[in-house]
Amino acid sequence: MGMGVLILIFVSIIILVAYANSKKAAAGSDTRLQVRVSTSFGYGDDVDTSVRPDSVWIPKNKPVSIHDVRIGDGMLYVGTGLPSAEGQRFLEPSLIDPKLPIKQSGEPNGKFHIGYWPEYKELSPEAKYAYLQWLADGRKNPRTNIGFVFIFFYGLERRLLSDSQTSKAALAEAADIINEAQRLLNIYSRHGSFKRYATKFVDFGRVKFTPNKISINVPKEKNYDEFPLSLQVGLSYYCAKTKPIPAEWALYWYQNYPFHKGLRTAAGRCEKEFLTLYEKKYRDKFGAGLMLKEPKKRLKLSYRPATRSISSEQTLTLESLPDALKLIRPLKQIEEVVESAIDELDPYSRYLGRNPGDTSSLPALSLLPKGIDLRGYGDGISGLEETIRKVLGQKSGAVFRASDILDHWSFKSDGKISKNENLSVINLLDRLGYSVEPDIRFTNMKIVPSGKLVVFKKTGDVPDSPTKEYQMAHLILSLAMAVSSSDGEISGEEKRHLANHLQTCLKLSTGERTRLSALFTYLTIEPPKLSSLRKHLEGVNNEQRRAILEFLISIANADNRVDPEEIKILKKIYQFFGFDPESIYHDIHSGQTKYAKEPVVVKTSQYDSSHEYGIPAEKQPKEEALSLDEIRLRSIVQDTNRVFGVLKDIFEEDQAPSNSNQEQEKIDPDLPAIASLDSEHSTIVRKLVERDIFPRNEFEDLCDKFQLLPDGVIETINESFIEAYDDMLIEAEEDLVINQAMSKEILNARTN
Amino acid sequence: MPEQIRTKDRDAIIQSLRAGVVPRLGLHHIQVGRAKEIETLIGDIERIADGGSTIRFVIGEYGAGKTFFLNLIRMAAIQKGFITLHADLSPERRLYATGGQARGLYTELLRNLSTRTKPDGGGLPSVVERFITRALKQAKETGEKVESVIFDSMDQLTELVGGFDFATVVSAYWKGHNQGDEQLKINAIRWLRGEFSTKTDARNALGVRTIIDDLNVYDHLKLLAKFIKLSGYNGMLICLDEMVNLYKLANTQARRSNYEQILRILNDSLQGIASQIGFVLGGTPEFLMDPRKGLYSYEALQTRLAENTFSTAVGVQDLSGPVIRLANLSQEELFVLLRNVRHVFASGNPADYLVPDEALKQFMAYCSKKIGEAYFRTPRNSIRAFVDMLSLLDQNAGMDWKMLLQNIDVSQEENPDTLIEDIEDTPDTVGSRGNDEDDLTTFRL
Repeated sequence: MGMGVLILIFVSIIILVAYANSKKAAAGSDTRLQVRVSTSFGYGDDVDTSVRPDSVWIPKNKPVSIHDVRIGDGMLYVGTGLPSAEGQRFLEPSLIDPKLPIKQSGEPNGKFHIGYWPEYKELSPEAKYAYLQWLADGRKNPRTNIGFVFIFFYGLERRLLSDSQTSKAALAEAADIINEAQRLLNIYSRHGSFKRYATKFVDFGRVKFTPNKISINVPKEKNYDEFPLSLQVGLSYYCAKTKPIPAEWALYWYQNYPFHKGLRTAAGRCEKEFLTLYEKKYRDKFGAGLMLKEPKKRLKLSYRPATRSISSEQTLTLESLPDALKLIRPLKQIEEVVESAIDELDPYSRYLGRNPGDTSSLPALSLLPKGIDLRGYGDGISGLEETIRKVLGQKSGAVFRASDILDHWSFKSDGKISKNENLSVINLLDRLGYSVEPDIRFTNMKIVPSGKLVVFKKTGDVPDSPTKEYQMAHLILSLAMAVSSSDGEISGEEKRHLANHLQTCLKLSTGERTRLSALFTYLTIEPPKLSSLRKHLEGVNNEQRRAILEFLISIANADNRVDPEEIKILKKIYQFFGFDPESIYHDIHSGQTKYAKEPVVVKTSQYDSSHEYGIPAEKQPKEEALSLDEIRLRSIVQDTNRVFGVLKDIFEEDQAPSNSNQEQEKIDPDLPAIASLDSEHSTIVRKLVERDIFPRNEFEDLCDKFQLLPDGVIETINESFIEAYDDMLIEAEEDLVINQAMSKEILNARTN
Repeated sequence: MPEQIRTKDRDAIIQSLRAGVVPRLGLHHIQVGRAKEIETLIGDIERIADGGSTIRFVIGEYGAGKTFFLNLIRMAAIQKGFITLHADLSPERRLYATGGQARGLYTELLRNLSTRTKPDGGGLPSVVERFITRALKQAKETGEKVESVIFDSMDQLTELVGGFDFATVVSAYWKGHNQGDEQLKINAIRWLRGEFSTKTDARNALGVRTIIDDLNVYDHLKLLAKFIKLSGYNGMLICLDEMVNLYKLANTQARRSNYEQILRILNDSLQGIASQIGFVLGGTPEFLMDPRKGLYSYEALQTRLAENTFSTAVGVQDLSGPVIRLANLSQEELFVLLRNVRHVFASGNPADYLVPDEALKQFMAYCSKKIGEAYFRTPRNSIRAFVDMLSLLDQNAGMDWKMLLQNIDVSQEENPDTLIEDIEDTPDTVGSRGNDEDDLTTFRL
């Protein structure tokens, strides 16, 4: 319709000139006007300026016959001579002149050639007939030529926007006209241009003519380059009434923001979850909703009609409503909510990308973010919950056969389950309110399908990641449990004492204590295998062993005394490390005296300490049973990085390369490097350029084969390409779009 | 041979100008004049790349094109292999605060972290992954454990405030990737963006004891600059726009604390304490000079920022000081700007120009008649009207520009700053004041 708008501008300029003069002068300028118009459009119309719109308007449901076609629904201009709405010397485009010939043709939905600016008069006799048929048929055939719909719509526009200014009858029809336009919109919204005009027309009409009955619906789809009218009005309304903006409105505001790139895939792929999560987060952040501060500027709506009968833009300033769309900060706030919801849904969404339709399996559900209620996702999840509840009852934790839990997943278990599968179990139980030991996130220990596991209820703070202190507690406890499991010399009580000691002296949080107790239970049943520890220990030299022992003694001594239980266990460890257990007393003694006599180390030794003088900390009163020397403790924790690393290695599970079950990608070392990338990245580039679009999933798999991180690979490749060729190879939003111009250069380089 | 303008750039420029905002891409296609100022800032970028640190105050009247200039410099830095961070200051985003607003600024900066391959922001995960990729490579070559390589290569970071936890979090990202624990990766990125508001949450999610909070924002920026260097980038440039929001703080103490922070940055930069980091701050003349509420109200800043009196006397710009003054556009510059816009519309091909030079002159005459000299001094609306006109011509071949010209809607630009009251706040306010702080402003990205 753009062309038309321009011509209208042209015409309106002339008309404005004409209006500027008096009536008589206007009559005088008619000649000039007529000449200009007829030259630009190439026809002279039989305009009769005495014809009033009311005299040719057929109201709603009044039947009319044109030739032998009977049209029952009315809402048409039928007659001759009606000039355009603004009085120009051309006929109303929607006017049906009953005298003009029509001709029946075989094709009611025919492929008529209808100009860009359809008007009834200009239709061929066959097209006229088809148009009348469409009208007679109730204006509902969805397959009709959209030009017909426009001709009819022009009439509605004129009646509502122009006639209503002078005719009471027309004004009274406003609601009917708007409803009719809405009805057409429901049928013909597939046609983009019509949809744009009609949507805006309906919204504009509602606000202007039926403000009391206005019920604004949230616009469901993104508009092109402007905010939908209904959105403008709705938001401004909330703003004026100082009412909180409902979550739904906020989202559509955000989506219709002209620069909006469109929501990322996850929002569409799992729309239900996205909306739930978004609304929850919106409520969490804004309560009942975002409140807008009323701007001074008033809301001004505008509508430029499709018909060339009305050339001027229709505007409406709503004094009662502020222009809320000028506000930008709320959009940012909404964006944060939207983006964080999408971020959290990404893992689930990617899973669905790899496994289309698999929305409710346990592996899928384990990826759903915490804000989503798992009820209603099928039987799988409730079955699992039931299994746990039966055993656990009112207890806070219990030991399970791992298979009882794992059977709910159908892992292809070959006696082991993968990291991912471990996480699936851990995350899903977490969603049900339980924690598990062993937990790969904390201890690097995987669940053994043929073994046991401990399930316990979550209470209070629940850590998802270990602090350093927790890792220490875990390692020491494991070591102790390992060395004391072989014989019955150390009682359960004594072991528990150690666990308690670790909790206290490493200052674990409540959540960590709960977890450590569960770990303790687990290790009692499934102690670490001494044989495997021994193997790892072989790589640890004497000096390192000594350092570990010193570290253990300092932990034991953290409360300024070493209890008999602790000594008993330490002796075992000494033995295991190949040291004389009896030398422990000497070591404890020197440990104690060391800390008692020396100034406390407040800094690590990386600094040149010769210029600094440490100030001894105030002495802690020693009488208190369990007074921890905070500074000493911190220095223990800080100073033991190295020891800690060695200790950790001892407990590391035998790690075959993490993707041993995957075949490694072959790298041909003879192929030349691309854009100064290393051979791995070059190989990836060679794979990428084979296609225009590389799906994200496949790309991630590809990176996995090289044990590389996908975003890091994209960044590295693009950086090198910009250096070498001044452009990026990969456009990556979700799937990877490969820059074809670039890839041609690569392929050429390959053949050369 | 005329330089072709890429469709992506062309569309981005046109779309932004129509909306009255500064384009994010292809700014060099429409840049007019200011050669010396640009040169100076490019010089700064090179100094940063060589390990130096700089700070510049870009001062200009409303509509003079500060934001445009800042973006241009930012793009130049990106082209030189820099990381850039940018944000507008606002009531919830300040340099210093005790109610979360400084952390708010940090979060915004990190969300807008841009690289050459992600010039629109959102580049943080790419940077972290690039760093880890390097560590992986080293680990493969030496047979060391990835985690130890990560910690070892961040050794110089761990000595700095917050450095150890920073390294722990980066390593948690790696662990998350290695174990397929997406949540851990998300949490790591959230921590790095300063999105954790309590230490307990951070501890539970990542096992670290600290968070990025109001008091250590600047320390973390310095830390980040080092990290970025380790990841293989040349340096880091931070662009802070709308500094006037500090000037508008009603509470003297709050304002002063923010200016103290600026002084700290300025001192670090002048004394070479910080490295590989540059700041560009955009503000209005009153933000700089108002003796009661501007930067000059803080004496230590005034002495460091006061301009070379000799150069002001003879009317030349002294670009060696930290203050760079942007003049408003002249008519002639606007003319060139319009020509550039026309050039962009034609994708850089003069044969496709939609209007002749004559049209530009008439357009300017028309605007001048309607809104006076504001049309070139604050050209946002004139440019918008011009782009609208070209768009119409573009879509409707054969249409005559002369007819369109008389029907153009161009209005005087309102300075949104004059529409907002002072920001009432005390430094002790806890949390974001949230909903009542929306102000009128034009769309800005």
